[in-house]
Amino acid sequence: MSHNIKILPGATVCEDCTLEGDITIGGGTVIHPRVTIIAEGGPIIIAEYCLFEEYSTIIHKKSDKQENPPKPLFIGAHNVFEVGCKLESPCGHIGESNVFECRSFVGVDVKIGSGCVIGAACSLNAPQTLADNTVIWGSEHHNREALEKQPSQMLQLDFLSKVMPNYHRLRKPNVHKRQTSRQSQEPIKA
Amino acid sequence: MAYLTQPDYVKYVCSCGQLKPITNLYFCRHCLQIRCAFCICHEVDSHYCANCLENMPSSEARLKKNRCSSCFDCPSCFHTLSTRATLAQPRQSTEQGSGDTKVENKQPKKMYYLSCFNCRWTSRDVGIPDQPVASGGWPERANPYATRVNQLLDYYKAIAQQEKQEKLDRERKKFAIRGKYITLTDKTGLTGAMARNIAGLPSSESSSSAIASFTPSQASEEVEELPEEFYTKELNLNQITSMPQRLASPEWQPTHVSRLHPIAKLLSVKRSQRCRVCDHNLTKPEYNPGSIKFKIELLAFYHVPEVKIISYEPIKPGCTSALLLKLTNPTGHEMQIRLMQPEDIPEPEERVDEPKSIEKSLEKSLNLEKDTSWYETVKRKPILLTECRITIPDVTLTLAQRDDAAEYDDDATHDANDIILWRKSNKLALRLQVVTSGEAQAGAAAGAVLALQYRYRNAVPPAAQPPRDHTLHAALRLHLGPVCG
Amino acid sequence: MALYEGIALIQEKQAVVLDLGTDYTKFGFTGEAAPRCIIRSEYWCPSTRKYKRVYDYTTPEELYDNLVHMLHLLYFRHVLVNPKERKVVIVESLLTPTLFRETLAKVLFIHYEVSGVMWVDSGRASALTLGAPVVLVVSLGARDAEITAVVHGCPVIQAIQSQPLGARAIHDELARILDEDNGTELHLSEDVLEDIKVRACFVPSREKAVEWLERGVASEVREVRGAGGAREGGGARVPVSRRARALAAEPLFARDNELASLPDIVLQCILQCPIDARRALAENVLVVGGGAALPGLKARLAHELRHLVTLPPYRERLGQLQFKFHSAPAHDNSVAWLGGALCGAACGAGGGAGAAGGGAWAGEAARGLARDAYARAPRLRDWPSLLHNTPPHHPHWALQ
Repeated sequence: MSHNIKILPGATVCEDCTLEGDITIGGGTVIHPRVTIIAEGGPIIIAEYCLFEEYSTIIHKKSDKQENPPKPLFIGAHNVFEVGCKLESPCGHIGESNVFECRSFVGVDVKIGSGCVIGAACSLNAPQTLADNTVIWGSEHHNREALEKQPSQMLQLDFLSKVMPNYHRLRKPNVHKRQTSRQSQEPIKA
Repeated sequence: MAYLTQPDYVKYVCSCGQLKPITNLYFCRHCLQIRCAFCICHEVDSHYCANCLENMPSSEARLKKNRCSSCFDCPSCFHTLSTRATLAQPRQSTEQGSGDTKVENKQPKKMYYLSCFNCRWTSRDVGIPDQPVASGGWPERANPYATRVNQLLDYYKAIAQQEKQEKLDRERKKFAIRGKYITLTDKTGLTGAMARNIAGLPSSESSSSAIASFTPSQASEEVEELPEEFYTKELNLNQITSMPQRLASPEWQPTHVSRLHPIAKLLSVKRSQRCRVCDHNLTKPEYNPGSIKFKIELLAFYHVPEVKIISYEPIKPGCTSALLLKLTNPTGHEMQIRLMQPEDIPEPEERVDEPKSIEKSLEKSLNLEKDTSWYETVKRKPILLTECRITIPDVTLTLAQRDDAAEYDDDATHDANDIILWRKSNKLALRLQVVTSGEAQAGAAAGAVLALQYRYRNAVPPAAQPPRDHTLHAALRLHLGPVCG
Repeated sequence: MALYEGIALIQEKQAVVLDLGTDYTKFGFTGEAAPRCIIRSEYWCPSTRKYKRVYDYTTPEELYDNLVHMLHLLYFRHVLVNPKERKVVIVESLLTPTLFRETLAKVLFIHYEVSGVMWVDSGRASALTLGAPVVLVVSLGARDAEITAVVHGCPVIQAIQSQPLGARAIHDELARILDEDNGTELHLSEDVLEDIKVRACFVPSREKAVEWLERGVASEVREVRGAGGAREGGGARVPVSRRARALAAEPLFARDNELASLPDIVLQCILQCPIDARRALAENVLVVGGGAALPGLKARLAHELRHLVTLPPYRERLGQLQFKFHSAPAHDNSVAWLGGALCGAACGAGGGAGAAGGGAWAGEAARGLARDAYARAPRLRDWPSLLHNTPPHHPHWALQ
């Protein structure tokens, strides 16, 4: 498996996490320790300002009817993956501003729009498409449609990107844009 | 904790015949009987909001329809709503309109809205404007039918009033008025009505106006036809409320999601419980909603010896199995316990200490009369027939009093006795034999019954008598798993 | 509203009104416009760790226990009042089994020691909400459809009609159609079926229904993907076909040789009433009950009645009737409850309230019973009992 991990400037990626395959991590994204991202079925592209909390798992699964070249899994901006959630390659595309709450599970054939919330401990196994702003909650998987997208976690991301370097070893950004959008990365404490 | 999470393996027989675990039972210190929630009287003690832990006097609670004024439930998922603050920028247009005069108004103002952390419903979803204060001020809705219902109420009350009046008048005619002349100096105030009645006028002006102005409901030929959209429009399930969502607000019962409004939180009550036989309190909670303590708590767990199953050999038909039990004395006094068969419990005899005064005995007889009626209805015959029979050793066991300090020295003394396995402060373990009859069906639930006779010292006796000891009985049923084949 | 509450504070405590339905229980105070709570008629049974329905009983003792637990839930979780010293108005069907009535009375008087109970039958209670003298009440409950003609405050007992055409009939048909569409037995729970019914189903007009029953539901009706599926654990969602959406309520209107469809029994009820009340009854129809809230149901019933009355055997005797419909000042599922609340507020429930009740209602509406009276003779007034329905001038009384 090729390990080709591209971290854009402004991203905060802890060293203590499993990243395998062809992964691109956008600026402003924060990846906590113990996160697992495995791109075995194709590259994973993560846009800006996503938040991956501890023990969240993203797998781009290998499938039999693999296209060539493999289709990338694109994760839009401002997605929040809370502690212990699991996502198994939902058909190549995840919109923006979704929230995957603690210990939620999203199976293989689930398409997710934008502004969706997968409630704590909800698991979506059956093939389905979530329209924009769908909220799923509870053990009986009630759903409703929210009026607007979930507010973004910019304050939290800002705070984390300032604080994380003080307590964790980070992976350095290895791709440089022509102009850095944010202030230069703070020095990593040894 | 085991009592909360595990099935009830040991059930006691309540004085009303119900089988319940010891944690669900009460012990009336005045009747010296075990009671349960089924055979005692529950009373509302105080109202409080379970979310903000605010006490509410019952008169206020009645006015507010048992709803908290500051806490709300989510109309979508019934989780408690939280208040969130946002900074609202004053509108630009107003700034332009008023020019420089309102520069100080430019700073953002804090506005509040309600939001659910579970299903992410917000009060903005249904167009409720944000509020400038953190609690209260949320728009209240009136019942759409309130006016009509009030009209109906007025009408029926007037009719009832009129009927009562007529009845009174008839009675007056029957008994009081013999002569031709009506005494116009009648003090009861009914003369006016009488006079009107004779003159052929309606009997009372106030009631007649309510009756006269009432219009009965008008039926119409037109029935609301099914809207065309049902035939043609795509159905968006997320826009239609579910049954629980509708019934959560019985006054409005919204069918469309956009009509969901925050539901003011229903108050909770603290209950006090009362023995029906002697009318003494069994539990009485503290007034403060934040406190989980009781002023009075006569729980069986603190007064009746507790029996737990340590282990048992599998029950086989026609065989004898060993059974290990643990007995605990929860009281602060030494306790003698004898084991016996439930059928050997003597019938409760009339208490010797009858009150001497006639009044009291009269009261008692009245009480008894009252009691028997409900007692017969409530009384259940406990099912104590089992295939297994515990061989009862003829010994009297003495259990030391509970000593909280003794919990920490853990030297279990091993008794030489072949019945007592070990002793430790106020606990002891027993080894008993269970004989199973040969007719027991394999796979059926095996149960054994046991009765305890124990000496109970009533530390706070009624009528300031010195503490005295009583011999009490408790029957219990042990669940010993399935019968093995 | 505030005025009455003020009076209630001074006078005696407001009575509570209980309408214990098969599926949903309505409970609240007299003089209010809506019940305080509408909850399922079931309680949590901790020993079996399941919800237990009040109406699931095999022995009288089990029913007694069910009612004790249900009332405990209602009193201490929902309306938060002491049951003691507070009167109760019970709204019940005239066809309530005697065992149920007597057990409920026993629970209230003996277990909860309420000071008085008043029984109001649901037909008359529903009529009370209109203020009209003659009303034909069509009540669609969870199990049965009941038709009661109320003429000047008196239910016409011999004309009462009842058929198992309530919500259950619709649920069964819905389950059948869904099974057929999916080719398997789905074994959907009652909850899921109710959810599908409430959110997706409707009753089409008569012409459309006749056409669709023959040629299939027109394609402009959209089918729904994934109704009730939200509960299936994110797994397979149930597609609800247009047939299931539009035709689930058809069993209510399906005619057979027994003439037992909903419009049939309405007409039969009118037929069995005194001839001078028939016109008035047809012109004062009130459709109540949770089942009546299904979109389009009332309109469809109107179509069916107007059509059926032109056919034999009704044409000769009822052909001239005009049908007019009322709408009650409450939601369909709490109309009978509101009637009970009005009645309770006007009469003051219980103890000797038999006399009050208003001109047309002539004391019949309020069959009150106080606790001391019950303690002396635990017998309830009931219309099938000869003790209570023998007129006072009957020679039988002279013999005693």
